[in-house]
Amino acid sequence: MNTEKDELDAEVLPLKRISRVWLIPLIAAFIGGWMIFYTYSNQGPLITITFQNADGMEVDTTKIKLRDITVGKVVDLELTDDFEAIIVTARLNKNTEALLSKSTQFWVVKPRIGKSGISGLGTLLSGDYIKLSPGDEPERATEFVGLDNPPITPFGTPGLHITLSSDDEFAFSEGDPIVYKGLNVGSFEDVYFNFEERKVYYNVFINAPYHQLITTNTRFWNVSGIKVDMQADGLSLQVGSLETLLTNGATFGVPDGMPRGELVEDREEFRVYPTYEKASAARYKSSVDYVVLVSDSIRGLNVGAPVEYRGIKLGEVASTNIHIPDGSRLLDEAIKIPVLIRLQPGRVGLPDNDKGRKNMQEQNFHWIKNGLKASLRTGNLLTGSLFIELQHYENAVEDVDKYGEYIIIPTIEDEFSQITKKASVFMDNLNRVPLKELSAEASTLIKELTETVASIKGSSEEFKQVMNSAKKEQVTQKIGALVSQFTKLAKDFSEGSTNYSELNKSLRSLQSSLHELGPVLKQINQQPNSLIFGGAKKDTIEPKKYLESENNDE
Amino acid sequence: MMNRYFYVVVILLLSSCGSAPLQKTNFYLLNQDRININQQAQKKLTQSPVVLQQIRMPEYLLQPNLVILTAENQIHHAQFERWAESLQSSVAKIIVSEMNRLDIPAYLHNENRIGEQKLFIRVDHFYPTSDSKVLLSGRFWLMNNAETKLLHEESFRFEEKLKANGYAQSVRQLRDLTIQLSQHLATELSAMN
Repeated sequence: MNTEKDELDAEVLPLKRISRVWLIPLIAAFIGGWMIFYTYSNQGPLITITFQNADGMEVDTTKIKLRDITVGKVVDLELTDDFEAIIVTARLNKNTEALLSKSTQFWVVKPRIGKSGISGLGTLLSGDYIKLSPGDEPERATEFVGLDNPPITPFGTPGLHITLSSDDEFAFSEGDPIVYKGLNVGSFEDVYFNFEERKVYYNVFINAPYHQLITTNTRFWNVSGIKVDMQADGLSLQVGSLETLLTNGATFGVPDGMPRGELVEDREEFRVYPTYEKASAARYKSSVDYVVLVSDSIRGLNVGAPVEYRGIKLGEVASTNIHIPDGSRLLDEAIKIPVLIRLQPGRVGLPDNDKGRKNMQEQNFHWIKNGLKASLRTGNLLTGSLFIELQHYENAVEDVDKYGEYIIIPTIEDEFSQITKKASVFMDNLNRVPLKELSAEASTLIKELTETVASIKGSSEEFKQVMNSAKKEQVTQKIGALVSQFTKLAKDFSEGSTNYSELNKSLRSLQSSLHELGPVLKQINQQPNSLIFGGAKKDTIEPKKYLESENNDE
Repeated sequence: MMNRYFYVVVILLLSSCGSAPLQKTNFYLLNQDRININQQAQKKLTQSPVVLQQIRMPEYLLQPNLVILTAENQIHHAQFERWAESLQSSVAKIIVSEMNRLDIPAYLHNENRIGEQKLFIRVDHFYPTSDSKVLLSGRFWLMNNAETKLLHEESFRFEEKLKANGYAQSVRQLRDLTIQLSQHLATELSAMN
């Protein structure tokens, strides 16, 4: 019996090592730790973006995309302390730190209708998402302020940023297009008004490849809406594109006759002109100013009106009725209006610099002394706009006069004014003519003439009547004689007269002769030889006596 | 010498041929002197005077030769039987004289008399026929002086059997027919008045 008991007692031995069971939790812990490490090591940066509202955003659903590739996700949404905005916490993917520049922009992509059209329609199905536009500043950031609207020019868009300035009375807004030959090649990104300079500055982006058209000689001008320009040289209508017809817009180009110039660098500054003409005119840097004293009305003479020399545009009117530097001069020229004109040597092939100015001054000085004069001309009969024409005349002047610092170009009246003047003189002379007395004498003369004519007429009528009556008497006498002769003739041959009875007798004898000749002629007609061979046979047909017996038999 | 005799013989022969007697032409007068027209002036006029207008006849009756109806629509002009006076004139004279004799004042149209009535007569047939008859037929009508109103209109036809051969007898009997017409006209006019 003890063997069985000994055999039942277990032998307890001490452990020499850890149990293999602990491998399982160790492995699990290891896997868990590795996963945690992996997660944290692959986790991207956490950023916060402040938006005005969280419209369309959901935690763990709203994505952050760059070029339609998801680079992050919204992990938290919470209000700011002042409850005025929403802080969106988002976790970006690993290795996206390079995108988080201080100038990186975020905005919500959702369906929008703007000047450039409708965008974000795809989000109707996929849901709104946050788009990222990386900045180019080297400084990194993790807190950003989201944009309310997408940026005009996304980061990385190839092209050229330039700055336009304007001090004229037109304004562009963000998104307004830059057109070139009808194509939309850029847009206004930003508007800034400088109070000190009283100028508006625009940040403009020109898309590639059109940015290569921007050179040092490029000029920008406004093409908003329809531009109607009525000047001395005619009426012009300008329209940019359909978009600029409805909104504002600008275009650019190199003025005719100018070299293309060299390519510009980023953020080059240009000026925006109101019209192409002004933009083109701005090419001329040098000019010479003169004054023209006009004694006629300058109504219709606008600033910018052309100054022409024998049809060639030499410059333009810079100012009308300028203030004189010397007050005493006003009393001398009280009836003449000073007009400042600006002549540009570059327009006539002279160098567009001081040398050209000097050449022009000497030339003009010589011409003025030999009779160069200015006159106002009508450029457009519809609008009544005027321009100034320079022309040579025979009347030379001894000295060249000055108006302040400006040389005066003498004026001469234009042809229309001369005609008007002559017409006025003619009317004055006509007024001096004693028309009343002349008309009275003329009416008396006409009256006497009328009476004379009437008396002549009466005399001629009487003469006519006399002639007519004389003619009538002659004709009547002739007719009477003719009628009496005819009556006599008719009487001679009327019934009862001798001639009538003799005529009747003759006719009767002729008739009886013909009656007698009738049978002979008939016989000859029927039997011509009866004249020689015997007379006609006795007529065999004759009426017969009525016999009763013969008729009864029938 | 022989030639002369030949010519003489020829002339004698021709002259003998040419000397044959010609047929004699007979001239007939329809109007016979039965009454003096001027006697009417002595009588008192009780009837309305009537003026007989020119009698209208077919062309074949207006020529001087007597005619005879040989067939239904065939006539023969007698070669040597002729009227001495135109039928228009002689028929009118007979009618007027007969009417005057019957106390109907009638005048010829060419007598320049003004009457109250005008008598128009149209003779269609006035000839002997080959079946031994003489025929007078036609139409007459009576109008007022102004020829604006028709007073009476009637057709007439008178026929007799020939009592002897020859044109002379025919003329006599044609005269009788004319007188019958005149008497008929007088009767009608008297009845109207």
